[in-house]
Amino acid sequence: MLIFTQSLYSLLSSEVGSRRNFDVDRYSERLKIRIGVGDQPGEPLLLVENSGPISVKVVRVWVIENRTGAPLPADGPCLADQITIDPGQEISIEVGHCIPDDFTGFVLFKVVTSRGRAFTSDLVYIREGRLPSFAFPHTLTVSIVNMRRGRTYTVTVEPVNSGDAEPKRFTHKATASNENVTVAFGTTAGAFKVTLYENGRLVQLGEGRNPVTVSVPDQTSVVFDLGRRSVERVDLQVSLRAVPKTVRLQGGSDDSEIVTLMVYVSLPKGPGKEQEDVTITGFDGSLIGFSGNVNARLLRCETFTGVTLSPGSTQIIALCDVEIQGGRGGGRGQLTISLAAGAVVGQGEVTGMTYTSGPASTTVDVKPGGGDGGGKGGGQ
Amino acid sequence: MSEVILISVVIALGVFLLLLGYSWSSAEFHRSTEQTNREVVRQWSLLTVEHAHLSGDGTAEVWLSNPGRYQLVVLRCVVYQAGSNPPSTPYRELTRVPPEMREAKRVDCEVTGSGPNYVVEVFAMPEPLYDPHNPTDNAQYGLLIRYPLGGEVP
Repeated sequence: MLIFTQSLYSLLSSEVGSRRNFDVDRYSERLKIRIGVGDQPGEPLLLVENSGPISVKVVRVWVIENRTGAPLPADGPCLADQITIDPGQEISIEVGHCIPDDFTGFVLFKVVTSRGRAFTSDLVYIREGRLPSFAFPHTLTVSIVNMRRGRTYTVTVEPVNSGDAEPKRFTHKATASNENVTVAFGTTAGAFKVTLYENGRLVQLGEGRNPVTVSVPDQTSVVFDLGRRSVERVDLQVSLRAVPKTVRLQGGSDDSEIVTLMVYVSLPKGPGKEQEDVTITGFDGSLIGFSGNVNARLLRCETFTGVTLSPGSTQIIALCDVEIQGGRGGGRGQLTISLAAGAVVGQGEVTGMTYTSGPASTTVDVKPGGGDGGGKGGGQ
Repeated sequence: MSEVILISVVIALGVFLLLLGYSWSSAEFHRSTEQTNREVVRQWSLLTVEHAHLSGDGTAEVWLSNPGRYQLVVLRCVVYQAGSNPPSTPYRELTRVPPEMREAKRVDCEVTGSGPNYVVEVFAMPEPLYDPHNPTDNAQYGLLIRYPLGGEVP
C-alpha cells in the first residue's frame, strides 16, 4: 500500500513538473510581428520573427478589423496552417487574400501559437484591400496635445494643389483630461492643409496655428497644443443617513437602541471644470460627534476605503453602529450626529492631490416607549 | 480433535481477514488511482480565448482554443460589464474544444450591461471528468477563465 501510494505520488509529481516546464516554455515564447509588402504592389505580408529562445509553432493567424473587432473573414481565422519558427528565424505569411478588395480601414494581425500565446501587430491602414504606402511614400504625423475629456476631435488633411493623402480624416474622443494622441497620415509630396476640429467646431489657436499648411516632405509633423489645464480640486461632499430615524426608549438609563449610521461620500461635478477621479484612502471615525439631550456613543465602524469616485458619483464608505441610551429628557429628545470636516480623505488619480470632506450631520428623534424590540422600525 | 478444530478456525479467520484486507486495499487502490487521474487531467486542462468581439445583436462572438491534452466541454460563457457581478446562468453544454490547439471553436455568449468595458467569463470541464447527466459533478476540476473586452455594444 505504501509503495503504491508513493508511486502514485511520483506520477503526480512528474506530471506537475511537466506542466511547470510547459508553462516556462510558454512564457519564454517571443514573436515580433511586422508588416511588409508582397510580390504584388500593396499586398500585405506578415513578417514574423522568433526573438525568443525556443521554437514556436504558429497555429493560427487572425486579421482583426479595428473598428468593430470582427475578424476578416467573418467566419474565423485567416490561416490555420502550422508553421514552426526556430529561434532567430523570420518567416513571411501571405495574408492579403483574407482582406476583401473593398475593405478600407485599420486592421491588426494576431498570431496564435501551439502553447496558447497570442502576439499582435501594430494597427495597419488598408485601403481597398491593399497597403497604401506604395502610393504614399511620405508620412505626415499629426499630434493633438492636452485634449479635454469627453470631447471629440477631428483632424482633416486636404491637399492644397495636387497630391493625395490617406486617410484624409481621423476622429478621436478623449477619455481623460490632458490626453494626447498622434496619428500618421500617408501622403504624396506637396502642400497640405491640416485642420483640427473640437466637437465639430474649428479650434481657435491663433493665426496660422489652425489650420496649418505644411509642405511635405520639408515638414512632416504638426502639433496642435490645446494648452494644459490644471485639474481643479473640489471638496468631497459627505452625507449621513441614520437608520432608523426614530427610536423609542424608556426613561431609564438601562434602555438603549442601536442606530446604523451610513456615511456616503460624493465627488461634485463642476461644469466646465477639469477634474479627475478620486480614490478614497481614509475615514476617521473619531471625528463623529454627538450633541443633543440624549446620550450616545459610537460602538464600531466598518469602512470601505479604496473605492474610486468619478466626478458626479457617490459611494458609501462607512457603516457605523451608534448606541443611543435612555436617561436624560425622560426618554424624549433629539440626537444630532455630526461628522467634522476632514473625516474623509482621498487622493487624485492623476495629480495625487489630497481631497478632504466638509462637515455633515443628521438627526435621530428619540421618543418614549420601547421595551423589547421597541424603537425598531421607526420612520426614516 | 479439538486442536484440529481450533487450528481450522484460526486458519479460516486468518483467510477471512486476509480477504477483507485485500478487498479494502483494492478499493483504496482504485480510489487513489481515480483521484490521481483526476488530478493529472486537471493539470493538463488549459483553455484560452483567442479572440472575442461584440456582435450587433446583444451577443459576443468568443473564439476558444485548448493548448492542453484533454478535450474540454464548455458549460458556461457570459459577457458582463467590468466591475459588476457576473450573471448567474445554468450549466449547459455549449461546445467541445479539441486539445493541442487543433481548432478554434466559436461560442456566441450573451452580453449583460452597457459597457464600455466587459469581461468574458468561460467555465469548462475536462471531458474525461464530465458527466452530462450531472454537469456539476467534479466541478472543482473545472476551468474558469476571464478575458477583457472593450468597446460599446453596437
